[in-house]
Amino acid sequence: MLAGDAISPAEKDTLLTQVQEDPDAWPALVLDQRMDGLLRGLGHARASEQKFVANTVNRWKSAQDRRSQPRKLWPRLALTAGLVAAVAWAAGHWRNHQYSAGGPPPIATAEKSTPLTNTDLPQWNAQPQLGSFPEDQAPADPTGSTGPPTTILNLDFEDGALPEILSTGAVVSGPPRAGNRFCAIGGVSPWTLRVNVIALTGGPQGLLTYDDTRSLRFRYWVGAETQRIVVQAKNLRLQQNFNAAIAPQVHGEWAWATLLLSALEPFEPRRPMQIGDPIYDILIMAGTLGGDAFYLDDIAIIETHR
Amino acid sequence: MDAPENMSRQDRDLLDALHSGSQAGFERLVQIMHSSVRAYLTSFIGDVGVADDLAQETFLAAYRDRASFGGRSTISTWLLGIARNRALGYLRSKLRQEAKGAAAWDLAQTEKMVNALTDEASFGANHERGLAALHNCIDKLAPHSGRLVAEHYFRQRPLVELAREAGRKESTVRVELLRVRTWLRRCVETTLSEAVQI
Repeated sequence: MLAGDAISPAEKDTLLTQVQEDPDAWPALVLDQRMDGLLRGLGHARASEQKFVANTVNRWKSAQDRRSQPRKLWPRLALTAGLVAAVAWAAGHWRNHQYSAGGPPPIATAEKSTPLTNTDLPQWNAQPQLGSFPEDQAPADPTGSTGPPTTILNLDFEDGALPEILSTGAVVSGPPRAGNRFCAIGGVSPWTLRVNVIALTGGPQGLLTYDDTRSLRFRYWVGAETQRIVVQAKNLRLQQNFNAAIAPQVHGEWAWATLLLSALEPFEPRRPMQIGDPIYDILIMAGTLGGDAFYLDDIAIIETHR
Repeated sequence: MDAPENMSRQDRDLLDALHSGSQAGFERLVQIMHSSVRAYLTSFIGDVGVADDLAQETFLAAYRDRASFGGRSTISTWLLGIARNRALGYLRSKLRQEAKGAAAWDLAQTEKMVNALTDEASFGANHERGLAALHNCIDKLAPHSGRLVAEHYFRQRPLVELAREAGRKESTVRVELLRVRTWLRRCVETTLSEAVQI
């Protein structure tokens, strides 16, 4: 669970993505969180034994003192009644003020109180903007534009070196393809325990900026068991992950995939990305550790001019 | 209540402490059991501050209701049962709060912990045996892994600091710690299953 240190909202989204993709990961995550908690609890107990014992004994003494004092009910009842009346008056005044100021009525939260279950989690299915194409069919521009596109980023791995922005994954020779020598293979990430990940990460300013004219394109190779390729991008301004899934058209062969960055969707809260938003990283996830391998090649960000 | 003949020394101490009704008795009870109760609670709650608060409530409730201890289990199992009920109460209340707008991950995680705590059949004696096994397993760790556990969990040093010191990425150290925890979990499970076979 990696819960020992603080987990950012975006990292929580990544963990949620993982269990959404692989519900069987839950038991392992829960057991790992319990082991992490057990170790932290033991360490904390060892470090603060005297303080904890002293505080607990003080609480016990206070409770004993309170119990030994004679109860005086009337002053307490009067105080409680006064407090209730004051709160009721303040709540009514606040509501009236809200209405009279022309603002919206208070939001009712009762409708949202149903606990979330796994089946309530959003399902990402292949969207019309997303595409997966056989190797011999180069993907069309998903924006429908016929103007000349600009390549903002392109990784073909042909020098065999690990690009600096490839923060998770490795460069290998991979499954053969005519004229190709190297590609990237998915690796392990601390936030995605059971899924193969290829991550592109930028510096503090981000990897690129969001625009609805931009799309991600790559060649993929997935095994027979892989049903979906999940793409996740972290929006730095919103500190939130945006996700999309692509259903592979072919397995055990190289094929193309493309998606518009505007097809990426967040979990709650569902705030939209805005043009110019910095995107910190892009994670492409498929297969499972120890199971299906996952390769990518010719990863590119393409911009179509309006 | 008279102590049975086959009772361990710790259990005798606990029984004496519980029934003394004095401040010294209460203090003794807390001293003997605080580590086990706090670790048990942190393993479900996550937050050490909240776990400590619930542990204090557990000891206060146990001492207040000491007459209800019937001797059908050990005192440590009885105490952990009280702690379990406190943890369940806290997590269910947290679940209701989070349903009003917390991050989906927090909500799902709390729900899983409530289920784990509700389904846990062996919360008492197994926890005590598990802790003993965990200490043995930590001793069996490779020197490098043992140092990592000691520095992060027992000296409470953040991973970013340990990574910087070792000249490695924080994510690499995180993954390494994850592997150590997985190994420890399997080691504890193996130790407990071997103990059952004997």
